[in-house]
Amino acid sequence: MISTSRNSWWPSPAAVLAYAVAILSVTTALVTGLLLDQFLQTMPYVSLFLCSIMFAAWFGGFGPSLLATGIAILLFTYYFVDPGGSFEVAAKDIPRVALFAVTALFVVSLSAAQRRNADSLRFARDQLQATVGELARVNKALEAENVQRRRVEAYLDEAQGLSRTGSFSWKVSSGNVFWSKEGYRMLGLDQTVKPSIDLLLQRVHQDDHRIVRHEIDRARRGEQDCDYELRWLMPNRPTKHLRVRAHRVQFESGEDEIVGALIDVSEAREAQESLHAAQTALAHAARVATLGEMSASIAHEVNQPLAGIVTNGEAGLRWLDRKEPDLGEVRSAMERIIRDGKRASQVVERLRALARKAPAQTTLLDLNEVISEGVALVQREIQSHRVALQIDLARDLPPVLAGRVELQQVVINLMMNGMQAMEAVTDRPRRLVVRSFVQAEEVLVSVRDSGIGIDPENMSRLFNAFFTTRANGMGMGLSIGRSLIESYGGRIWASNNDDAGTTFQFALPARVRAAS
Amino acid sequence: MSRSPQPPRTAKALPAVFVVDDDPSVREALSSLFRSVDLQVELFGSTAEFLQHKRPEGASCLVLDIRLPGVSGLDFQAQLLQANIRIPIIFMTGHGDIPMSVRAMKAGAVDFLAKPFRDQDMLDAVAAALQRDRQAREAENAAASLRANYELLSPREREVMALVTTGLMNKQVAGQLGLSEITVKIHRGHAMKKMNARSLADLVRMAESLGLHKPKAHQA
Repeated sequence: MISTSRNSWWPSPAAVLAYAVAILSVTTALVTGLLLDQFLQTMPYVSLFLCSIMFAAWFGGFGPSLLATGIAILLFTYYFVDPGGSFEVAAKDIPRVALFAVTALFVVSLSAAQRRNADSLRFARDQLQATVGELARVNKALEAENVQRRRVEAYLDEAQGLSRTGSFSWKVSSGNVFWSKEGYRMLGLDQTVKPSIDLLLQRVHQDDHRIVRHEIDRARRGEQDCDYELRWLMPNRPTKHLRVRAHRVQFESGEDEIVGALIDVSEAREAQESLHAAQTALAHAARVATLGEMSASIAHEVNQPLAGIVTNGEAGLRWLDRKEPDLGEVRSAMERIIRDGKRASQVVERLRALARKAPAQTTLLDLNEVISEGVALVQREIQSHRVALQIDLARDLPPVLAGRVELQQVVINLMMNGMQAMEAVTDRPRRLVVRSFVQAEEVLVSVRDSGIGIDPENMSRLFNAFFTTRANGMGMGLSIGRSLIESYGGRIWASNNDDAGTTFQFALPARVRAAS
Repeated sequence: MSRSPQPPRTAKALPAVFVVDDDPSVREALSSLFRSVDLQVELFGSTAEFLQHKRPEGASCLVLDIRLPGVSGLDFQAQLLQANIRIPIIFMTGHGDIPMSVRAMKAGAVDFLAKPFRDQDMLDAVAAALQRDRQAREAENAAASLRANYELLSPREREVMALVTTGLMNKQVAGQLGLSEITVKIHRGHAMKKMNARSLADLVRMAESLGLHKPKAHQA
């Protein structure tokens, strides 16, 4: 506040200096004039004053030169106009004074004009300089930004390379396609190749053409997002699994563009596949182990119809070889042979399905069928363990999405466990209840035994691998069962019954019957 | 050597085979096989059904599956022995092991056949079983008639028979019983006649089957 108020009252130091110089230069001109007058008897006052005014004008501008002019006129009047030593002007000298004043004012105006020109030139120059400086700064910033941008681009390339992610864009209307460096590398294409959708389709695995075409059509129709996987054929190298994620963006130009990422998920896919293979192998091993445990039952199950077939055949021959062949008996023996043969082949087919080492194929399944088939396979075990089996299946069960053999394996495993848990039971009926029911959009299967139950402290470890309470148990059945059920999006658990024994249950998400 | 009081085969008493198997395929096949060689067959799905059936007059045997609902074939064999129901048993199994067959044979089974079996093996086993049953029945019949004949002897004749068959001379027997030698001879003659004994050796064998010498062993 103080400084501003002072500024408003006082002229700036530069102005003070300019006025001081004006006064000084006029004074100097006077002194010089007086000295010259005295020693050289010459009288160059006018020129000297004009010079001083010009100097004041040059140095200080219009204001100081006016001041200098005023002072010079007064001094001129005082010293060099008769009568000397006073400000009075004799009539005869008025034109002289006026001429001086006019000349001085003319000089002032000239000097001021020149100075204005100089000022404006200087101003123009300063402005030019400022502009140039500004330009230089902008240039520098641009350069820095460029460096930064190149660095970012390098980082991006590096990051794309490290993360095996390429990027692409596709201008839907013009059909222009862009692939990033890593995109090219990933696709195994040279960067000189002009990217196009057709080129893309050439290298996509035959079986994935449908998916890719479908996704491209969707994008053309204006779909916002896409996310799918395709197999990409690499000449002389293993096929890659690429995941494509893209979305639609609209740039300022108003043109729609699909911008997306291309991710190499081969490793993850391979890991997943080998995990899956390991799981399948383990499940198979467990099935084979279960089959081993059931071998007595299986032998019986197979030999029973075989015994029927052989005996019927031999009986048939004997009926034929009689003195009077009894063709009626032969016919019925043959019919029984056919019936038993079919039955044997069914048994073998069921066993083969269980023993088959094929990757799990998930289909829509009726859990009731799975239970019935499982029960058929353990029928003999049930008898030999003297177990009363009760099957209580809900009608119109919605299907579940799972592997038939794998689910059968789980059901058989739970039933075998239940029977084994009842081996030591003699004081109460050995009851095994298998139920299926629907609850909260899930299909449930429960297997309830009246066995010895599970020690509460073992409850949490029940589904762990290698946990077993049996002397000859491997401890894999429930663990594999859990991983199978969980792989189908389900869960499995056990609880002790209020009275005796344990109930094992598993739940799988119910699916819609008519799946699209 | 032994005489059969009645001919074993009458129209009423055809040899009969009982089949107990819970599997209808096996039952029907066996039925056909046995009928094709003119054997009478009865089929049962369980041991309980079999027990309800009346045992026939003629020779018979049981073809039994080891694995049965409820009670196992081997346990059933033991039950029959305990109840003194003696019928030759042929075991069948879809999955047999050595301990099982040993147990079955030790308990008197005729044979132990693994499914699928040869028809001839089964028929041979059945023939052997029927033969065994027939012999058992004949032996039983013979023992029964022997006992009936023995019942006809008077107390004195029984005393004489018991002593004579131990190898004592008539004189010694007479001395032991306080009888005359002549009286002993008469009693002995009556006993031999009533017992249908053709010789002394015959009588000795009969005395042995009747267990007459046990009291003597006791005395000694």
